[in-house]
Amino acid sequence: MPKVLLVDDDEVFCDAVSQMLEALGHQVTTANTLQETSAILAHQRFDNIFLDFMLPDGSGLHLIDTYSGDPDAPFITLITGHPAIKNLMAGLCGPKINYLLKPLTRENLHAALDRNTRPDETHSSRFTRHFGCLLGESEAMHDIYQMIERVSKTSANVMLLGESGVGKEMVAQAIHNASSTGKLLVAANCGAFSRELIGSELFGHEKGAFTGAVARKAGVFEQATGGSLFLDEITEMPIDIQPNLLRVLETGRVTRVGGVKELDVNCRVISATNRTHKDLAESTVLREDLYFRLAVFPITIPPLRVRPGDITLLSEALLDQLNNENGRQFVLSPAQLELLNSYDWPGNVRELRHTLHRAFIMSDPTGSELALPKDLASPFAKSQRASNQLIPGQTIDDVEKELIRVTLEQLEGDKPRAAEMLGISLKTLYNRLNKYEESTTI
Amino acid sequence: MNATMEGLVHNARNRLNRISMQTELAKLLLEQGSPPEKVITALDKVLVACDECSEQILSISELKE
Repeated sequence: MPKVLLVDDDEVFCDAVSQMLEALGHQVTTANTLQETSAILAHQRFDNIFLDFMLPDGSGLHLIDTYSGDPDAPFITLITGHPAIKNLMAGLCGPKINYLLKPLTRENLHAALDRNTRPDETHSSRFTRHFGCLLGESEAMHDIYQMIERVSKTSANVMLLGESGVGKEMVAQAIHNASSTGKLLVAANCGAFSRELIGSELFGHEKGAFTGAVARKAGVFEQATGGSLFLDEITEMPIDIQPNLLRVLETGRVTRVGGVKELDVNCRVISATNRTHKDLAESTVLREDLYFRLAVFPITIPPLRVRPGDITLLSEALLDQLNNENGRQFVLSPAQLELLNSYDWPGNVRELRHTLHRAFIMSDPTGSELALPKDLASPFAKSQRASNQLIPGQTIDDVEKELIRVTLEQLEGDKPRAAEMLGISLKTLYNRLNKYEESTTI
Repeated sequence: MNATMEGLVHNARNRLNRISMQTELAKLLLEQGSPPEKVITALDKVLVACDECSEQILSISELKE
């Protein structure tokens, strides 16, 4: 979530802007003086700073001076009420400094944030975030970027498929950023709603529609009008609600629960699921007619293990983010990067982030080395490894070695039983184990 | 413009800024179907800012005389 620092001595103004920016998906911190601002910036970094020109203890220009020559400086938007100062600012503004004239409007804020977050590429000093949020330079990710670029020029609904933790919500954000609608991306998890309330959450309700409906409520389709609606875990939607969703997608109109009037809704629907195409076809979790409306443009996001090179890039970028947020300077050694690359990350980017975050917390704050665990596998990974270790392209020797390893692990090292279970002689088993040991020694 | 006049103009402009932002917030709250109390709170702040802005303008006109 982008972080914004709002610096203005007018608390009523700050309150209104904070609420608006939070509704637009930003994490907002406020400060009323330069002194407060300096104390906050000593421990946190921000993507954007909105800065009043005149503060009780000095000018906002002093803050800009502190970032002079810093390649990681945030985007700064100066807010002034003086047209004359605005003209002066226009001459001083560089690529990372913007200005706005009071009184502000929502469009001003939007335009400043849009200008400051370039939708095609956002560069930090080292890491390129495609569409403002995606990291990765592997061929598989560049294929995804091309698909995002193409579909963003249309209004087609998109279905995102991929394992848990690959970044489906990030890709949804990227599609929304690339579409440049200037409207909201509204996210909803179909698995999180109770069966009784899912209709109300999606389509809204009128006052009195049911017990507890004390006021009219706009559903997520109405909230996302003109923008994008992200429906995560679409296959968790109860089958009896799916016809209602289908009708909305077909007609572009929604009727609130308990209402009679049809309302026009116009948004791109981006849905997501962990299931594969095969699962969708064979199971009955999603109606076929609904699938064709949702998956006009399906995108399958690759798992981390098939993105060579991205594990190093993501690890360094995630660590860089943690360092920036916490004022540390941890680095990953070549040996640690090799360890990270050797693991297959069944939990994908989420698991990688979790591992690095945990290591960050455990590391000595006075040192520079990250305390990475020797065994990266999570409890879920160990369970999955036992049941599914085949990856296309693995050599037969590697598969054999892994099979022998998991069998011995299961039998707590009992070689005779392992040999019997594997259908080979004990001598053959010992020969294999000696061969693996020799190759490790070399 | 002398310092006192400049201060009054600055204050008036700040009140207009509050009016603008609280009104935008009220619109956003309505679009999102937020509880009416939140919208009313924002609009009450608009009314207060209007009164304060009016006082600043009155002070400016008295200074000019």
